[in-house]
Amino acid sequence: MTLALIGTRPRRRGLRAFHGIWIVLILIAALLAGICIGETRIPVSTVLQVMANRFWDAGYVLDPIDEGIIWSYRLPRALVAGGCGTALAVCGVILQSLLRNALADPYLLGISAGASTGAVLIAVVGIGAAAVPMSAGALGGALLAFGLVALLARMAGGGTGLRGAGQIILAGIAGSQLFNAMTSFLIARSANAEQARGIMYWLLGNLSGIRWDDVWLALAAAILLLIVAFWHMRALDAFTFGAESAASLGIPVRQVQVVLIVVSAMATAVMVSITGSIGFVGLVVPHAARFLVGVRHALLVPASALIGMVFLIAADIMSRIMIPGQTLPIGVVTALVGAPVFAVILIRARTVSR
Amino acid sequence: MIRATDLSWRAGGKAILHGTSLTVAKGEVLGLIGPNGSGKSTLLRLLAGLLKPSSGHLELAGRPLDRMRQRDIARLLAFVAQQAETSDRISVRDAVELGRTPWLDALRPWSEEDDRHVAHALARVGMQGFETRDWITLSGGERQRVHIARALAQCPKVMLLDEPTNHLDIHHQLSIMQLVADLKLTTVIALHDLNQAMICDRLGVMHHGRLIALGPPAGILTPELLERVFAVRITELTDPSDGSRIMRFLPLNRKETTCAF
Repeated sequence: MTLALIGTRPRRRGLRAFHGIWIVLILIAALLAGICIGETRIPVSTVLQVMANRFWDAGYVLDPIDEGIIWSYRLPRALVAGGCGTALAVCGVILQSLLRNALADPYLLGISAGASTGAVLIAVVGIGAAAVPMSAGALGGALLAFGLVALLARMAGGGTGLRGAGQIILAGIAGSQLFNAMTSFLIARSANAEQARGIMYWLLGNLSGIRWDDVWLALAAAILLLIVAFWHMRALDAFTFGAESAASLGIPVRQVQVVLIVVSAMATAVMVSITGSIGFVGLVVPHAARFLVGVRHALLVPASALIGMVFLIAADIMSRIMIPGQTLPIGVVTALVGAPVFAVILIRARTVSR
Repeated sequence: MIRATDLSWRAGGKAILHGTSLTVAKGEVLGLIGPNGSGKSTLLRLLAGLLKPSSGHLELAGRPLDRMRQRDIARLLAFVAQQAETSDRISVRDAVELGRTPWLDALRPWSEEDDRHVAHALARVGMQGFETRDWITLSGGERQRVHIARALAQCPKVMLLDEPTNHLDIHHQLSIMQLVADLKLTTVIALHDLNQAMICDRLGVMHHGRLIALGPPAGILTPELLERVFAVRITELTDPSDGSRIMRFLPLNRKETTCAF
């Protein structure tokens, strides 16, 4: 008996500790890469010295320009990219599980577009002015957009079947178009030319001008989302055979759906208000993670979080070095990678359903 | 084990189920038969706590169902749907492990005891050795066995099954029915095939959202009742191999048949 048991679970526990070390190493490596690589290459040793100065008052004498670039520009940027990647990827995992849809993602379902409209409404039109922060406007827009899309999908005869899966994506496209049009309308009506240029650039997903305040907000949102996702990992598994099956396994379906979708919309809204809407992360990363660790959420959630983080930090590096002397919006880079992967998923979904 | 009093369920202003009362005793196998749309599935989903009754009262193991948490219901009662599918690449073991969900939470992680329940459930449905097989590679009958194993891994006292043999070939239909009969659990099962219904301890006949008859199969399946409910004529035959009763179905009136094949 004991022999048989040794073979199964305890080995997994050992594996988990092993994975823990890898996760920390990958995290540090990704952040270091994000800080070192760019227009001015900075040696790793300088980065470590700056960290030592900041955290332990080590007192290394460094070029103040290097120190400024590292501490006020690249580190916050890498941290926000990482947090944003984590949050968007985990949102994708949650939405794909709850909606039983391989194509669910905050961007495709119009949640990002709604959040943009909400944020622009606060920033440009100045409704509520300083009283309401941009991220609150974004959250309102995100929830409104998801509500509209879900309602439209239901009215179009959505469900959990393959047809229903198509309906909610179509509803998401309609929602995205509507909210993007409203955003354009708001900009055209209320912004001057310079503002408009800035906002359009931000809407494509942009990590320029990140400050430390943004870092705390982004990390808080990402960590809260991760905790909620971990807490619900068995519930997310239980949706494998649909919502009714989840209910028969003892999951309070309505409550779980509301909590997870509101927290996902919140995380998306925070990220959109900081970085603009970055597409395809929530779609591509969970599929890559499933390919590596399988479909169970105990592994899928952390794997997606880690891959999302690395993916977006890498995308940010690419956006800074692809065109010398110029920074691309990060959303352009993720779309260049994400759109082809989206196509591959579509084709594979067809062969599986046959 | 189950006591339903005057259950009704309405959807979109239309009554799907009218004042239905029934009790299911411990260890009993109750079959529900009736034409499509007669309310069998609705009644099962009400009994499983998956739908909330519009009116009426429901008790599970002496406790009012509407005051029980979903998780507590799932520890007592398991539900197997007609056809629950997934496009996820899960293994047989993953699917059966889902059955342990009501017994686990963030503070009570997976343990060796859960492993034992999963292995036991797989053995009971004859699917040991299939643990690592991909869901998509299974046949319909194998999938239904895995669903029943998943339900057994819940360690339920009551098992509800909604036409579990639909979409299966005859060999798998019979083996699934035998499996259900051998489980020795309190069972409510919706059925399509009247001959298969003969193995139940009692049968309930549903018609237009009402439970119109309830009793032992031999007393219930009378030609008059079946004519009224299913609109077919019945002749009874006796199988010479074991003396069991077999029903043969004929159109009620050949002249009235509008659809001729």
